Amino acid sequence: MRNLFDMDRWSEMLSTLGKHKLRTGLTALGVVWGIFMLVVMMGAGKALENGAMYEFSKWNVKSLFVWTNRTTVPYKGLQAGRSVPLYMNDIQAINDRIEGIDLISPRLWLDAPAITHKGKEGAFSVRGETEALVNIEPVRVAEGRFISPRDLAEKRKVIVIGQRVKDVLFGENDPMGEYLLIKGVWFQVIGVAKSLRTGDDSREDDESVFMPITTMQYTYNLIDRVGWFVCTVKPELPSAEVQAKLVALLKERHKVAPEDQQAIGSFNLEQEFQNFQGIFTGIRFIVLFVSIGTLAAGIIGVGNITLITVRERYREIGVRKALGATNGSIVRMILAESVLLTAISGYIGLVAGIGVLALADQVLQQAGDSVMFFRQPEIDLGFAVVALCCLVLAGAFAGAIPARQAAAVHLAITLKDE
Amino acid sequence: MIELRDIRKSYRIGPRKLEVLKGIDLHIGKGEFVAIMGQSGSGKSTLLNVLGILDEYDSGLYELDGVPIRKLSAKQAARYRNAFIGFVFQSFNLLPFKNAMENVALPLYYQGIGRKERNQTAMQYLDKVGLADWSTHLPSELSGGQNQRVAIARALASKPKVILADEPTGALDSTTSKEIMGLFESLNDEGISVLIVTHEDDIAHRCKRLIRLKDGLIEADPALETQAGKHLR
Ligand SMILES: Nc1ncnc2c1ncn2[C@@H]1O[C@H](COP(=O)(O)OP(=O)(O)OP(=O)(O)O)[C@@H](O)[C@H]1O
Ligand SMILES: [Mg+2]
Repeated sequence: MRNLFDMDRWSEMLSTLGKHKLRTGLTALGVVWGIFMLVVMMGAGKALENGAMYEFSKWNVKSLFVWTNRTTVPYKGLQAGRSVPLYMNDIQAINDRIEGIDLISPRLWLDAPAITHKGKEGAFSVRGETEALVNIEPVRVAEGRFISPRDLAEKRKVIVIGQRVKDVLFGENDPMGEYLLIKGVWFQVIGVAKSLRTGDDSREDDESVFMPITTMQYTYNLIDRVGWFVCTVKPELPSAEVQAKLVALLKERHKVAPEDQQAIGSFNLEQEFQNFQGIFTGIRFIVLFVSIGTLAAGIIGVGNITLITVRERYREIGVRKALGATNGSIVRMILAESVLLTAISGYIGLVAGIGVLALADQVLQQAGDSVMFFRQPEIDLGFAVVALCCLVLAGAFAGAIPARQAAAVHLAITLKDE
Repeated sequence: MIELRDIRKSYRIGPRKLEVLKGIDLHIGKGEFVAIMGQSGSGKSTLLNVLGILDEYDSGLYELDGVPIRKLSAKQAARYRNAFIGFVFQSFNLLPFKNAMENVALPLYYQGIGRKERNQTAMQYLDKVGLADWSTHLPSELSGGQNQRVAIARALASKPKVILADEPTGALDSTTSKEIMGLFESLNDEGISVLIVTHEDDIAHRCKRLIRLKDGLIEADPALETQAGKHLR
């Protein structure tokens, strides 16, 4: 056997492939398409995953959101339909008695009161928060500073305004140090907040005004009241466990029936995160499944077309054998053609797929944060290499049956003159 | 150089056996120019296939240049075909996607000869058949006679012991046929052995020896006649 890198053999093969452009092209097309689809689908799946993960990354995944509703079950002589108010001592009790709570931030809000500044007016929601908000939710300070523990302790009449509030009330002017009138009380602007959320979701934050919760409690006669709260769980503990204990504690403190599902509402971001991860494992599996199917179809296509072309080439093979080609050299010729063809077309499909992904990435980057849940389409290069190797193997596999048929061609019959 | 003794061959058609060669005895020496004639179905092509190691025979003895041709491995058969025999077919059997020079060079490729030398040799033989100027043309761009010349050049390229031609003029008009026969004659003059199967009397009579086949047996062979002193025809 002459060695694999015999230039002559390769050029003989390349010239054969090159001179049958239609045949070569058709065979190549299936594989090009298969690999292209595989790459694009994997990239799209990855982009969905990246997009979701990016959204999650703006939040503290260990967050628990807790609120109350009316009771739905009568309990200890109390009727159903009773509202369950939260107080600062609930927050204290949670902090003292529930293990694994990291940060806890009680919250209050005023529903869209009129806010005025020098004749300009707007209706924005006013939120009573603590300094911990910026460590939990995707809200950051754009100018000035956020609420500080001292603001809270001294119940200072200071506010941080959302981006849109600033635009409406101040336009191009500097809001820092200016005073706003909210329900008859003046507050000094100490900062401007910006939302990290995308699209419509960001409006919720940008159209808000943040003040220390203690200030809100004292100013608007809501002493000790808490509307709802958010807390974070220490990373080493499962959120769900802490959530269950926390809800049980609140039920006990407020005489809510343990079986009442409605009265104490809560939302566990970690749970949601895990659900998403489950979904993406599913998507990855489906993509892999469909891709393997597409590829298998492409490979069977190569095998089929090789088989057909080998039939068409019986005479050529007969002639080659009459001129001294051994069976081995015929088998090697067909195999090598099939391998070369799958490898080259696989490579073209790969490059085309990666090109499309790169293009999509470019477009997405230009669109910035406005495209939600679709981000950085990319594929694992290692996977691409493995796929290409599989293709080469598959090419050999697809060529094997036709090659053996070609070698078994009966010379006297194929060379017979019609 | 070619020695056949009691060569028999039959084809199996379903449950029946069709005897095609029924005991061929034949000796062809170096430099002979032989025509084989006979009715359709008399076994001419079968005999030529056996001689060309394109097909196997059932029994008998076949020696080619002193080498017994019997139960060869596929690899040996390929090597002997390449080294001993040059084929010329009625329908040329050129590879349609290769040009004249590449077609002529093909047997040399299977001898492991490098491209440059291969192409040089191919050009020599194309020149010999008068087609040096047509070397880059594809078979589809050449006439029947030209294609057959390319095929003959290809048969010559591996310097075979014998050229086997099955109805080489069967697809050509009479003028072109005469030219091709002229080419065979001049090759024979150089000492190359040529064996031609033909239906046409005027082709056969330009050869130096005429063998007639009938129902798988040699009916008339001048060589035998001289041996036996018989006059069959
Ligand atoms: N592969 C085969 N299988 C079965 N029978 C065959 C095969 N090849 C040839 N035959 C039969 O063998 C007989 C001799 O065939 P062959 O081709 O040798 O005849 P021929 O003398 O060359 O005839 P022609 O002048 O028509 O070419 C014919 O009856 C033919 O049908
Ligand atoms: Mg015949």
